[in-house]
Amino acid sequence: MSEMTATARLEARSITVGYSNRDVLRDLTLSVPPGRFTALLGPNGSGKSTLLRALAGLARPSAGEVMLNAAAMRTMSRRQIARHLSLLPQTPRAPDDISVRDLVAQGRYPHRGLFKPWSSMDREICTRAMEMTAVADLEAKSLGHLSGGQRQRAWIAMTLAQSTDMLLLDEPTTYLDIAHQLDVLDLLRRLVRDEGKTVVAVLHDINHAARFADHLCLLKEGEIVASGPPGEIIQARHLRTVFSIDATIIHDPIDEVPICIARR
Amino acid sequence: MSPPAEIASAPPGRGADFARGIGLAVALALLPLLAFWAVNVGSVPIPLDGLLAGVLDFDGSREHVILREVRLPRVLAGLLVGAQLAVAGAIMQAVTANPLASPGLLGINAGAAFAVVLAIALAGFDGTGTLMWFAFLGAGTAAVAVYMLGSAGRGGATPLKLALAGAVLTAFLASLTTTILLRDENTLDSVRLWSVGSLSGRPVDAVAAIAPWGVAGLMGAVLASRPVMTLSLGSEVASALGQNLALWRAVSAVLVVLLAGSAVALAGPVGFVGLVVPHVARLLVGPDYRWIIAYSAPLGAGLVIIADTGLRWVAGIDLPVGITMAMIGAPVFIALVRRRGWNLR
Repeated sequence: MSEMTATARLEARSITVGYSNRDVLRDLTLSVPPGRFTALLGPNGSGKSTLLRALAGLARPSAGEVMLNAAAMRTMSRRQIARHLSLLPQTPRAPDDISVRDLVAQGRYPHRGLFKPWSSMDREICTRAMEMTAVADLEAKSLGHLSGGQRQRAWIAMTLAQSTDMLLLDEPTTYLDIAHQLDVLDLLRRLVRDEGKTVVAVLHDINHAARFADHLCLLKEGEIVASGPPGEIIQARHLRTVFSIDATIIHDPIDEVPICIARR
Repeated sequence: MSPPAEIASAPPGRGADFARGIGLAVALALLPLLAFWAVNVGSVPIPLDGLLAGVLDFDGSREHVILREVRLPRVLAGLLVGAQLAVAGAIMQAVTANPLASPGLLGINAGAAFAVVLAIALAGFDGTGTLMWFAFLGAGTAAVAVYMLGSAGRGGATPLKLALAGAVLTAFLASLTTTILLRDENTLDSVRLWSVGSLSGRPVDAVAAIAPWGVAGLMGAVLASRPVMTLSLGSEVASALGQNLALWRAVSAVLVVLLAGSAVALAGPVGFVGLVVPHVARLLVGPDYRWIIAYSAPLGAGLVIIADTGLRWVAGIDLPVGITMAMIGAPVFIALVRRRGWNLR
């Protein structure tokens, strides 16, 4: 799996993406660093979610090209894409009474043919996905009986069962309380460090992004204003440009992670 | 709620699937018993050896003629129609994420029935094998019309809007069908009976003409049940999982038209089966549509046989199955609605 990870490449080449008559992204170019945790940050309406959907092949660019492992995504089937890249939508939906095990098993969809029976390999991959996300003990429980954090981890387990190199998540911490937010972010960081996954997540909290991600992209009005490691990106001038806020940046005395204090 | 709760909390791995498999085998094994009972309800009793002889070694006796021309076609038609409508309902509920979806409520049955009556009254077509094609056409047209009506306006095809569009189309088409039947003196009584949903007087040929289509539809539904389950998670998750949405929605629509259209061509627009049975199956086996579809077939077949035979057996009254099914289905449906707080938005 680590050999595949080294070659997993996802990039947007001058893409323009819009709905009906409004362009949400304009001539945007982004190369996702492989084997790193990238956070997309920006105010509401800046095009973060649209960029994520375009990278996942769910929003089609009207100009430009999204490249997945050096192949144009528009030439690939959904199944081919889903073997390399999994996406967790912002508010995924499933019946409340579906069990965690059955939900996670859905992650095997792109790897199964119509007549291909459930194999021991499928089962092992699902079990491992549930262990990584610490939902293995909950596998017989139904989704409706889980806490918000457990439910989100179950969904992440489903995307892990897809055994893809890349994992894209749309606001995975929204609606969670602070402990569960940290839980999910820590899980994503471990997936990058221990499993060699490439993670791209839309996040709202600047300080969470600075602490957990390796690479930040600041978006404003459909364009990338700045991108790079948190130490370079979390600067007062960038935050003023992107979020229109006055902020003071200090550094965590323990690990030097930049912390943004928004003053206005 | 105790049986589903027990299944849901069964030990991980194959335990739950094993229990569901046993349950399915039991349901399938009960069908021949139910059919044998139904064949025997009437003035002439037919014992088991008489049944076998009548099928395998026909001797032209009155008993054998009744069996071959009246009782068996009726029971076989009931089994087919019940399984087909229930499975069609299960597929529709999965694909539209709509607990109210069923061929009856979403206008599919009414569309098929209207097209069949039109073909009989205006063009003089007859023979179930021929009329079936009109039923397919009517069912398909109604499906497209309801979907377009239901997804117009803001918010797309919400369950409530789809159900309303289906109710409107059903009422409209049913009144047109009734108008044609009332004005056309030449239309046979059997057609009037058929138009409310009836299994009586179905000739063997009609059952034989429908059976290959119905069986093909049922087999297709079982084969497609895994993609249908994934489709039931909604377009966002399903396409993220790599599903070709357009392909599987089209396959589902074709299966529904095949199953419901041929059922209506044979027995008329029988309601409630497609609505109630998938919910009962869901209570038994949980939200996995692979199992819901598999269970819906025997449950639907059994329910239609009971609805068609029960009143004759108890009171000797022969009412069309469309009416007896409504008498059973309406209270069951109300109980289901009250039990689960459905969110229709």
